[in-house]
Amino acid sequence: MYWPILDFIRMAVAHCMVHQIPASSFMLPCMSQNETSVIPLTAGVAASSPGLHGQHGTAETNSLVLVAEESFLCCLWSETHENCSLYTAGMETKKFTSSEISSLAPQQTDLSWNIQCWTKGDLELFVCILKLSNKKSYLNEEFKINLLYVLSELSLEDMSTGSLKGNFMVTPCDCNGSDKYECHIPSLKLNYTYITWLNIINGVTLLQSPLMSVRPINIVKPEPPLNLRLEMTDKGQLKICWSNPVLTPYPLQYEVKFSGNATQNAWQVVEIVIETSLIIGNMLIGSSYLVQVRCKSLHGPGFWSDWSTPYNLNAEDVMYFPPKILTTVGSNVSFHCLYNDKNKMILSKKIVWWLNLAEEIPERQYTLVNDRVSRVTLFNLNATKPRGRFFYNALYCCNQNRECHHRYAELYVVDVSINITCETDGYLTKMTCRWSTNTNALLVGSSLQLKYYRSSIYCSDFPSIPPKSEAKECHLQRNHYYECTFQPIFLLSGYTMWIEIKHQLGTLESPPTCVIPADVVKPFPPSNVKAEITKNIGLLNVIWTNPAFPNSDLKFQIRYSVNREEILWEIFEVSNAPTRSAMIKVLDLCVVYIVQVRCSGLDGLGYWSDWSKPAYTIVQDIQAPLRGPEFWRVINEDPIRKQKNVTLFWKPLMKNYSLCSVCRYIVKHHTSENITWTEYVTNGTTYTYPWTEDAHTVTILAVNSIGASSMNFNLTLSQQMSTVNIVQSLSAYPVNSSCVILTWTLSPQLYVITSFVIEWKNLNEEEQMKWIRVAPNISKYYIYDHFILIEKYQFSLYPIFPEGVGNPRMTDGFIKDRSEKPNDAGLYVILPIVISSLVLLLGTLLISQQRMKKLFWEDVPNPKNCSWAQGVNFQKRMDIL
Amino acid sequence: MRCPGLPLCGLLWFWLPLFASRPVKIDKVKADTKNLTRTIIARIQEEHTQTPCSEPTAGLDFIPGERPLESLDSMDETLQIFQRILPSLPMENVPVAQIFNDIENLRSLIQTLGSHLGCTFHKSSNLAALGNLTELLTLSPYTTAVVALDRLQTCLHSIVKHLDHIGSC
Repeated sequence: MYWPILDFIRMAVAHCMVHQIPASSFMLPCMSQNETSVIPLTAGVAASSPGLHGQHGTAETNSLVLVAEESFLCCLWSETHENCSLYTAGMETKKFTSSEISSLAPQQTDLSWNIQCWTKGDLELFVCILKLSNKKSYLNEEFKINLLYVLSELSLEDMSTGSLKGNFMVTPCDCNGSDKYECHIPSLKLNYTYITWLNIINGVTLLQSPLMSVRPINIVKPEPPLNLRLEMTDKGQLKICWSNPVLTPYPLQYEVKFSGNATQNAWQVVEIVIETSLIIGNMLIGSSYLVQVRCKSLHGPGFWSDWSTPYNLNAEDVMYFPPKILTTVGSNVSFHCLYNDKNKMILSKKIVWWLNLAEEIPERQYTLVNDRVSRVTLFNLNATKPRGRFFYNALYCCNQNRECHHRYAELYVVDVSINITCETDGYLTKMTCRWSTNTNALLVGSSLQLKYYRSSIYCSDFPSIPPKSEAKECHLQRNHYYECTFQPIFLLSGYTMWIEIKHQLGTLESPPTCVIPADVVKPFPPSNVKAEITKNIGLLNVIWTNPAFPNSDLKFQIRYSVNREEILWEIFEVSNAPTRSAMIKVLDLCVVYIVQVRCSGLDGLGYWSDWSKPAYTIVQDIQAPLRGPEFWRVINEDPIRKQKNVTLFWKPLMKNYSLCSVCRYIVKHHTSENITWTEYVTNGTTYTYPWTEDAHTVTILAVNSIGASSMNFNLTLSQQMSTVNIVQSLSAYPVNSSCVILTWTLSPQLYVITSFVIEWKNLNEEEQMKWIRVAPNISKYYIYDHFILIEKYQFSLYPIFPEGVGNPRMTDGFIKDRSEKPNDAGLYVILPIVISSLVLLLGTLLISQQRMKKLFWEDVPNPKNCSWAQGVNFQKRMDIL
Repeated sequence: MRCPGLPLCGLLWFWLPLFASRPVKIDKVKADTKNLTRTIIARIQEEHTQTPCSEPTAGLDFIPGERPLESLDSMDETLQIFQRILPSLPMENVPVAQIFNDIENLRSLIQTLGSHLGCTFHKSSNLAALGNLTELLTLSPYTTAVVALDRLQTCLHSIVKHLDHIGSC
């Protein structure tokens, strides 16, 4: 059914038979089928029919549509009734004569609608309100109305039949009251041309409006101006100011009206202005004026907005301009004051300013703007300290006689120094910025947003807030930090960032900071970290693979520690780029080291990476053992075989000598008969061999995977030397249970002593003999062991000569201590005797005291027997004088 | 005591930091240009390690990279072409958007170097020849992507090489 209509629309557009919806209300009169059927049609006049070019922009246009059952007719005419044309569905057209047009006057029609259409101030919705103004009685009350429309990118003048593409849309109109219908077209395209018409169904009768066109931008009804307020110019003149509605697609003009008396509601339009303020001087101050403002497109058609909410100019006794200021720490602000004391203006020179009713502001900070307006300027402001629920400083404008009005201006000073730190990831594709605020320092109701501006490369020396900026979405983290992510990034661009703090009192900005992502890189840690103690050299060698990014030179930190429960890290710095390895001198070569590496830009910018995964060294042989083990011997005689067996025993080689293990020992024999042989000891630290020759020298070597020790101890056992006595005396003195001093003296001798061996043994227990080799040039040695002082020990000192082991000197230790025990027993006998004597003496003293007391009181007169003492009260104190 | 040379010395002392800082800044620009170029190469190589052994050239002449880049102007012009090509490449494993931004920064650095040397830059004349890029990407997207990335790498290597002895436009 709709396709023929669309064809008709195309034809009508082609012949310019389309009304333009005006930016005002208009009428839509309709007539029944019977009355129009008499109008004869003449085919073939379409080409000569007048266009609508001349009618575009007409303030008011009357229209009529008549619909037959199988064909529909439309008539268009203007107020002049000169151009009324008739169309049929068969594309026939007729021009009305003047007499015919007069019969179509609205008052004679069966049905008449008053219509107003506009675009809402949100620029999203097209609204048409239809009000029934006249209806013949044969029509019933129920109307069903649809608004139909088709869009075109072109204007009506440029429109061709081909430009109307696609289907038309239908939107039903809602009944809003008995005679009022409201039609909406949502999601408007402001600059498109909408071809619309109305279908009105009443019972079986269908009435169709003529085609109407509109560009929504031309019939916008803006929202009314907002936020009316009084402000003061620098010259001290009052001006009424307002804010534009949020969405204004074009410049606006404003109409301001005043009401002299709010109660009488007598409004007077004063002026039409194109700025958002109007200077009113000080004339209206002190009277109860109401002000309202409305707005409309400055150029072109459009509706006036509704009037704004009335603003009462009724002046208070004291007026501050501005009444409230929100500013940042360190800034300077100025307040103006008009003081009207009991309908008498206080001269500005008589005005003084007070802060918080506690501190008079110095006069040098005042400026006399004019006779009545005083201005005070506060410099380098500090943050406001909240006092209870008051988050502002109260500024008072007072009379010179120190009479202050209770009204005050409010000054909010906020510390907006917010630190923004950024970090670029190891792939150099993402920059994360973090910032936090001290919520106590912010005003309640503040909203924060990160704003930024990106320069093509680098930052300026002094970053400032540019006029154009972008907002970045940030998310509050659990650690109370906001986090914002830039991805992808411009590595070398300067991102100037700041935090915008919005509050109903105003907007503040934190000091801007500029960040270049390449300067805040936190690289990935080095990978494939390997660590080992190098063979022969004995250094901790660390190698790693650098991260793929960044490609600039890097510096490294290596932290290493012996791998134990309590790790004590040591740091080694590597900055000789380019490098991927380092050699570190370590003290202990035979322990497991744990090693980690991290990196950072060589230029010092950016962050250190995380530490790499730990690498562990393996304990392995570094070198051949530094020396062989120290050893000693025990000689056992076999009386049956008449043979001496020598058992060598040695202490296990410490790792700092074995470097780092011993797999076996080699015992080298050399006899006085110049026979040499070697034996291997793989298990244990003892070795026994028969001593048959006069002199027998043994040397023990330690062997690991690298080789055998080169510096070794040897011991010669000689029958001849075993009889050489050179130790003259030997004494043992216990210091405490863990230390005994052994001293000795030597007799003059001709032999060279290479060392001494001290043996000690607890004689009361079957404890193994202990020994130690000491230097040859000492005569005193502290033996550290666990000694039981009440036991008996035997100490032996063996001189060791190159030719063999000499005769030892022996002494028993701690025997003397035990022999002193009877003396202790004597002490136990004497002590009770002494105590008994003391008790006896004490008893004697007590008895003597009693006797003396008795003797003394015998000489004191008895008052009963003595005449002079009679009547004297000895219990009462008497003054001698 | 009169010292006529003092104001002149003061003036020279005042201007000295300006003259002294200029070469330092250009050195930094040069170093950043090199590092950024290497970064782009690394980005391509990290995800796109495949290098075509025999590169088809028929129909792909409009993608630069066959001739060495010896002037700052040609570098800028070539990078412009790659900026046009990159967004169309169907390479999900290569961070194309990031490389695009890197090239934008690289062009800014090259232009800064050029302005220091008094060079003038022209808008790429080959941009019109990219008309069949869409067609090529439809017909043989893989070939186009591989060749484009490979030639971009070649160009970047050429830029690094040329920056070592840059002295004129």
